[in-house]
Amino acid sequence: MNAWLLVAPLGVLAFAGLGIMLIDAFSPGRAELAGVTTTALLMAGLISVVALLSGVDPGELPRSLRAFIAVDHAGLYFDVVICAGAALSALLAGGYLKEHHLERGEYYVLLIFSALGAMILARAVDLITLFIGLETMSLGVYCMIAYRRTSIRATEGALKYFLLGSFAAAILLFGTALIYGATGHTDLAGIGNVLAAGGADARLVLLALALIVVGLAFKVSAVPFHMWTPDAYEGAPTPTTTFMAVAVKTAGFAIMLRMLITAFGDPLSASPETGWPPLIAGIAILSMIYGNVAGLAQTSVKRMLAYSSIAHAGYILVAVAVSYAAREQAIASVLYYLLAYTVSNVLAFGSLILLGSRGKEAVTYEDLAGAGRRHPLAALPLVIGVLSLMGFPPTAGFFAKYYVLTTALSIGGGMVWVAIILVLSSALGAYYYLKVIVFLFMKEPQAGAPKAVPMRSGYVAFALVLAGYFVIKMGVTPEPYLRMAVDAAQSFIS
Amino acid sequence: MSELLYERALIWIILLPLFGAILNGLFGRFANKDIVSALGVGSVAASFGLALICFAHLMTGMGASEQGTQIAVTAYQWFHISLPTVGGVHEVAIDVRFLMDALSGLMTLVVTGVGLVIHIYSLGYMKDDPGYARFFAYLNLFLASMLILVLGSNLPVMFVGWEGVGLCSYLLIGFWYQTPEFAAAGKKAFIANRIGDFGVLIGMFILVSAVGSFEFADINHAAPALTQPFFLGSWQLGTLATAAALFLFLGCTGKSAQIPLYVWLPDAMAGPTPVSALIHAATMVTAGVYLTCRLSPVFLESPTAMAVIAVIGSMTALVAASIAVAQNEMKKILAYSTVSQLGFMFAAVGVGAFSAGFFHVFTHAFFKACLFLAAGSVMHAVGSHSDADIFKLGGLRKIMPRTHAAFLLASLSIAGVPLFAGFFSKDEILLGAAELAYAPEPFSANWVGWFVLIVLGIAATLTAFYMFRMYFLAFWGDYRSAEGGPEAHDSDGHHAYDPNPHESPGSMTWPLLILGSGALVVGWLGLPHEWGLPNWWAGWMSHSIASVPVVEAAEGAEAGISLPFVTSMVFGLTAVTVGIGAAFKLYFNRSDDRFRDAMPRGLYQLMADKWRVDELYQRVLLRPLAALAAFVGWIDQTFVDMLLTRIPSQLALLSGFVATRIQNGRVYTYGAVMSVGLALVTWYFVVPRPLLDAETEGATASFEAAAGMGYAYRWDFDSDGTWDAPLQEHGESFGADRSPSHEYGPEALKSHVLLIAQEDGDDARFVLTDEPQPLPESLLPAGWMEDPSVGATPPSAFFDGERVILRRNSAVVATTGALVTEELIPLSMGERLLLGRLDTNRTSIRVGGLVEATVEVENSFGNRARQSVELVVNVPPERPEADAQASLTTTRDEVLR
Repeated sequence: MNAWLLVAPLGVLAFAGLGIMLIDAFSPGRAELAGVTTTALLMAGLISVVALLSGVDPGELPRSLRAFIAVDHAGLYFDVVICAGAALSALLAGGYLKEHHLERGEYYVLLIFSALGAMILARAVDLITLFIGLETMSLGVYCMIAYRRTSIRATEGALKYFLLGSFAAAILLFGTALIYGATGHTDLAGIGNVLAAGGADARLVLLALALIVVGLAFKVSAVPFHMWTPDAYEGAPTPTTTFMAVAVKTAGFAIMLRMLITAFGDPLSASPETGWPPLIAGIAILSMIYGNVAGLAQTSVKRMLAYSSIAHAGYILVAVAVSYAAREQAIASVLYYLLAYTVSNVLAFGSLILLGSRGKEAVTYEDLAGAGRRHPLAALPLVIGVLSLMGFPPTAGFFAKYYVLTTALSIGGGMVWVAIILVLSSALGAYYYLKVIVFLFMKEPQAGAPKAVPMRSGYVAFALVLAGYFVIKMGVTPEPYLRMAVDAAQSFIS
Repeated sequence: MSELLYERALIWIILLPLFGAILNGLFGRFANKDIVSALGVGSVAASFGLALICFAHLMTGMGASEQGTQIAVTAYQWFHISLPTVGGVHEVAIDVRFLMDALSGLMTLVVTGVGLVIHIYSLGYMKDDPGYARFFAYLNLFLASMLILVLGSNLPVMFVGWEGVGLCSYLLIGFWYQTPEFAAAGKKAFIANRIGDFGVLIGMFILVSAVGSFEFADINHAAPALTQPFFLGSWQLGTLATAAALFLFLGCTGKSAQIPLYVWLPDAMAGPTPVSALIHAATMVTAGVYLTCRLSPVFLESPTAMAVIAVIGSMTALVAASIAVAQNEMKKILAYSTVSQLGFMFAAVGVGAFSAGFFHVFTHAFFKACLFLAAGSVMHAVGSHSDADIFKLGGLRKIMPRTHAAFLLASLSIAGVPLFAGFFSKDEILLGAAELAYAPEPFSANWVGWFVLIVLGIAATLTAFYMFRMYFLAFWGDYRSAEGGPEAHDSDGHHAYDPNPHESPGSMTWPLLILGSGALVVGWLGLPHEWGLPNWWAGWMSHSIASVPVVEAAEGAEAGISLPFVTSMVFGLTAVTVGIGAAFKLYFNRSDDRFRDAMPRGLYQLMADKWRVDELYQRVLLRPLAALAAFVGWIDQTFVDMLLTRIPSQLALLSGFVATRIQNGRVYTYGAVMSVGLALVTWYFVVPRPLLDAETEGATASFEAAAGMGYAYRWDFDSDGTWDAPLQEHGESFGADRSPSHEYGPEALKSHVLLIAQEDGDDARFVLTDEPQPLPESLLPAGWMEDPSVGATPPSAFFDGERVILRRNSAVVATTGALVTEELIPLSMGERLLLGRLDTNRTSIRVGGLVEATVEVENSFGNRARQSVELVVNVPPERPEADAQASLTTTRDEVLR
């Protein structure tokens, strides 16, 4: 099989983005751009699946390409997750934008280029690619948040994210500059080799590590670099929120793993006592506790899901923190988690979209009151979604959490305590997830309060069916997905 | 290729009813009734068709191999568990795997076939019920669960079905949940079943820990090796096989309504009649028998368990039959009859006649389903909702000819009239018991055989009697609720039953006739060997079920008439004749209860009150439990809900509120928090952390400080302010050695300590000075003094400059050999004493030296951090030749300084 298959998903998206611009220019407002976008994304994802399964030898690709873009199984796995998340977000957008009279072509262009940026970021094996991918992804997302220009909340969220994002990007850029100065390399493997040989100035390396960790922690919205998350999630149109929660987060974790394991994987940088593992574990603990505790006090479901996304970042970071030791298992549990989190989140956000219509949106808990009794079919995906986010069997979220827990426990020592915090804090989280179900089925709306009225959209329904299928499938037969994740994790290490 | 087709078909047998259940459950209430009916019945019909195809394939391939063909399909690996074994960890894969052999194939046919007939019957019976779609959804779900139970090829999959049918049973018993008694009956069934399920789980765990697999085939294969003793704590509970078999049988007593858990089944008749017929007569309740047959090698391995099963089974048969005799309502009688017949099946299992027991499952499915449906038809005809009192009926023979015909066929069958199905299966059971009774050594369980034979004989007589009592009263004579009849009006003057009953519609009577003819013919599958007739049944079953090794004495009497055979025939035929004869004499064309009048009043009342077992459970189990529950509930409400729940939950909400205060919407706050975070992360890397860890062995301690990028270390092993390593020649310097070892000499000791061994395995430290100090009593063993009555002072200790002196005071002190009687006991480093009166109460005391080691770490930023650790070392007393060595070291140290 042709080795170009390995990078074809990127090409497909790039051309699809250009193509959609052309279509929109020549037939404004007529084409079903959501469908086109979804198709392109699904095609890119499908190519990745094919490439994953067929075992193409990357040796035929030019060295100059391989030096910048990863062509390993992990890269393909991230392609699949990001494309799936982006495609589902595009489907949601197809319903949402029409319903709210926002349907314009540039949204899909932004979405597809952001997804491309996310994939480049997830495949970056060089500091240059990293930054290009990061900015391609982020710029698109800023615009997608501010997409509803008339909404103050949207512009506010976008601006906050943009300002803080620039700050974080500067920090990250400074870190990459320092590590280049310390090692003379921009490729991650080269940096790793120099560090392992001990030939770098420790001060530069440590400062660079600190800056890079902070820059990446911002992207995955880990505490205390999470401050933008609730405002941006709440202000953004819900499909954008979905995209941020799934694709952006996946890319962030992908590059974090690549950085920490490939570049900073030497025994001293990754020392379990003084290197990044305890630091990441500390950030994980903060994120889990803060995300879940702050989630308790929310009245808006969308905002609650923002805090939930912070908490989930914490859970994933637990597995990242032990990736220095239980490498394959830990990385595989991160990868599995990302996929499970993607489909569960799409389900939750998607059903929020479905439950509301123009002027009668479902945003707060109060909006949902009694909606489950009035519209059981529309509420069902939301129930499954929050149950999966909660980690309730038999859903994808259960096994995701289970694998992270067993990985942490297999390390023993202090990680046992981290695992205990994980369990306790997610028990707190159950409160705000179950509250959704309580409002859906056990409360009635207050007199005179606006009621959420479900919208009708084939796009949204299709996205929910797809996501729901995988949430259940991954919860009932987790093994094949786990095997895929383990396979991708192996390529990471070698 | 074609095998693959059959494997697919096997999966669809289960999936079809499941999809029916899902579709009807989710969308049924919005859908047209015809669509619901088509889905509900169609899915079962298709499933039955597939089952027929698969079974036919199985039968045609039967002769091919010794094990017989089977259709097995692994859908996917569900999950796996890690089982700790002696040689490490053993991975047990749990597959979702289904298997159809003769045993599960026949059961599948019964489940889908009888299920189909009952579905069709329900079309008419439930026609006007508002919960029509819900009913079919539950019924389909039940079928899917039952098929999972039957076709699962390992215990966990079977257990999924086992729990599934329990759930459906609960849902369907309480189908008319608006009536509190019905809902309570559902709950009762569920709880009784849960007690049994606990037994199944324990049995499963015993088997998997012994065999290392959940697959039935593996367990059965390994069954002969299950002879190790099984301990529950220190109490031996027979062999592994006995324990597993008894726990599994506990599950069967729940699901299959045996003593002591049978009480739920009669109440379960609160559900719609088709449910009673399908779940509580034909299929689910026989799951226990199925399970024992499936694992027959395990049961055969344990004569104890077999005897228990035989006795409980036959006693259940007798007790339930005796209750049935004194009941007046059709479904009540049939309910106790079901319990009784299930007892017959377990009695068969207990005497080792698994095949006969399962044969009875098969025939019983037909005649009992038929009887229930006929009762339902009667209730439908007379317009009764809950049950039909036979004393208010009568003469239905002419009014409902089809129902009558079916009822008569099934009654003849259950009574065991020759040539009917029940005759053959019951006779096989009696034959099994008789064979055990006459069995020569080494089968010393003859008494079990006789016991079962006699008890079942009586039970069979009662069976024939109560069945024909019901038949004659309901179908002969005149209709007593007719206008002007003796029972036309109840005490309030209302019509109890419709005065003009009518035959039920065809969708109800045709299923009756099908099942009724089944009750006649299905017995011919297992004709007695002894008559030289073909017994297909035994042939099929021989591949799936283990049996008691055939006694070779029967060799000469090939196909002849043997003694056990004659005995069983005599018992069986006598029972039928006496039972039906008595019923005819007492009830034919009569309307009064002559049996009740003939019986002693108290005894009859006791039987009518079901031997007051429910009341007994109420008094002995439920009331104390309820009291306990009320108490625990009170604790829960006051302690758990208030102190442990309300307060922390309020705290959590409050902290959530506080946590969101920082989220004040101002972007410069956000930036500031990020900056603080960045500062903290930088601080983390800029400040070194030694994280010193140490271990000692004798006088040597090995240290380990944390590794870190750019870290350098220096060590002061005795914390005297001088860095010992790396050796300092030019001022202060750091080295790369982060894990040095050091051997301590006497001069490094800060002080001496007594190490007092504690119960938790650690040593408590007691630092000594040169003044005598009493040892704290809390560190000493309970019986350290000479005599507890004497006011005791604990021992005290001090360091006299050379050695440690222990002042005994009133404590009992021993060296390892003998008691020490001196008041002052000198101790050197490492020496051990025992303190305390008794061997069990003693604790050991030894002397150690306390040293303190310090490490300083410098990182590449030039920041330093120090950490000290106190260690107890065991420095041997200085011997003369060691002195020289020590002084040499000292000199060198001094020179270096």
